[in-house]
Order: sequence, then C-alpha cells, then structure tokens
Amino acid sequence: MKKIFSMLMLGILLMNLASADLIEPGHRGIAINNHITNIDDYSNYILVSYGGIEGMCPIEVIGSDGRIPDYYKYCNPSVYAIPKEKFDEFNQDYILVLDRDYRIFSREQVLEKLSSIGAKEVIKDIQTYEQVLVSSSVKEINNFYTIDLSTIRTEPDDKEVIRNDYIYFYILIPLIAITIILYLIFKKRK
Amino acid sequence: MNFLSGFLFTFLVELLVYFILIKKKKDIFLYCFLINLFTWPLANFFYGVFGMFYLIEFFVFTVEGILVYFLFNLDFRKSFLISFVANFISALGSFVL
Repeated sequence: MKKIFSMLMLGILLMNLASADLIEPGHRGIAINNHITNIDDYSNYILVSYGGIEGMCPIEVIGSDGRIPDYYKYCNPSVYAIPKEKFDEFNQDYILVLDRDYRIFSREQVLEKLSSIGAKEVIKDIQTYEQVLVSSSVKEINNFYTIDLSTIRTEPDDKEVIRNDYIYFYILIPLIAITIILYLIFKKRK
Repeated sequence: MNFLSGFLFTFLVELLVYFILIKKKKDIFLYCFLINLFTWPLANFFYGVFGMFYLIEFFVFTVEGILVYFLFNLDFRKSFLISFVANFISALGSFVL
C-alpha cells in the first residue's frame, strides 16, 4: 500500500514537472534555424555548439554551411571556436567520449577543457524553439549570426520570418463570404 | 484534423441538419456553405487567440441563427433552433474526432 502511494505521488510530481515541457493551449511550436554567415572567415578554427543540459544537449561540430544544429528547446546552446590544431585532442578526449556516455564529464569539466585549449565562446544563448499562437502566420524563423572572436553574440544580426498562408484563410475568406451573404440578402429584399 | 478536413466536417454536418429541418431546399447548399465559410475560419482564429470554446460557440450559434433567418426567410425561433442543432452536433463531432 505504501509502495503504491509513493508511486502515485511520484507520478503526480513528474506530471507537474512534465507540464513545463507542454505547449500552452492555443499555441504551437515553431523551429528556429540558426546560421553563421561568415564561417569561412575562420578556416583556422573548428566551430562547435554545446548546450546547457547535460545529456540532452551534446557537443556538435558545425559544418561548412554554417548551420547550427537543432537542439532541444531548453538547451540554449553556445557556439565555441576551437583552434584547429587543438580540435583533434578535444574530439578524442571529449566529443567521442561523451557520445558514448554523457555522464563521464560534467558540463563544468567540458567548459573547463574548452577554456584550457583556447576555445572562444562566440555566440551565447541561442534560441532554437518558440511558441506562437495557433492562428499565427509564422511558420519558422531563420536567424543569421556574423561572428567575431573578440565578441560574444547574444542576438542574431539578421532575422528571416517565414510565414504560412493561414492568415489569408482566417481573414480574407470570411470577408468574401459575408460580402456575398449581404449581397444575397439585399438582393432578396429588393 | 487539419484545417480543410475540419471545415469540411463542420460544413457537411450542418448541411445535413439544414436539409432535415428546412422545408424549402432551394439554395440550401450555397447558403450553408457561405455561412460556414464566414463563421468557421473566424471561430478557429479567435479560439486560437483566446481559447474560450463555449463563448466562441455561443457567438457562432447567434451569428448563424441571424444569417439563417435572413437567408432562408424563416421565423426567428426556427432559425435559432436550426443554428443550435447544427452547431451542437458539429461541436460534439469535433470533440469526438
């Protein structure tokens, strides 16, 4: 009986914690895609992204296209520029090890190692997800960052909002319908 | 249920109710279509913004009752009865689906 009660309490507690991960009623999630526009300017560096939650926000290498990988919505990753000659060591000792078992190194240990190999944080707190109203016309957002080794960017330099056509459906079509209805009503009364 | 299928479901259910309850069948399809084309997107828009399903349904029922009254030349009571039945059944159906 005690066991059942404890399980029930744990279940209720977890449900409350899980609700933080749910979408608010009347809202939907949209993806935010993040890009580095001047990655080619830093050919002596390898750029990696790394997020704030151990086990859920792995270290990812950013490809030559400059696209920052997608992350779980609460990761808010940062981007670090690692000198090319130091990358192999970091890759062997940390990235590949963490891929096998994320528990081997804590976030603090990873950040310490990044600091010790001369990695520079170039972008901080990247948003990868947003909630908008269900009726919003926003479909996805593209953020563009121009990085600089001497500055930590917290906001994108440019933003592109991609919209869907729902707004026309929601507003134009009812307008057309009521215009026709009113015309038909007035026509009948003549 | 996506937007198109949601609209079609509501329209077809209401059309069926109109066919059963309205004697004069002339222009039933057109009027029912126009009424739903007006109320359905607006109801979904405001539901997305405010929630408040029952309040929005009440406005839909009222507006549709008025439009049925003017388009079909029925008496007020019958118009609102038709609107109530049609919206009740379509709302019930959308809950189930």
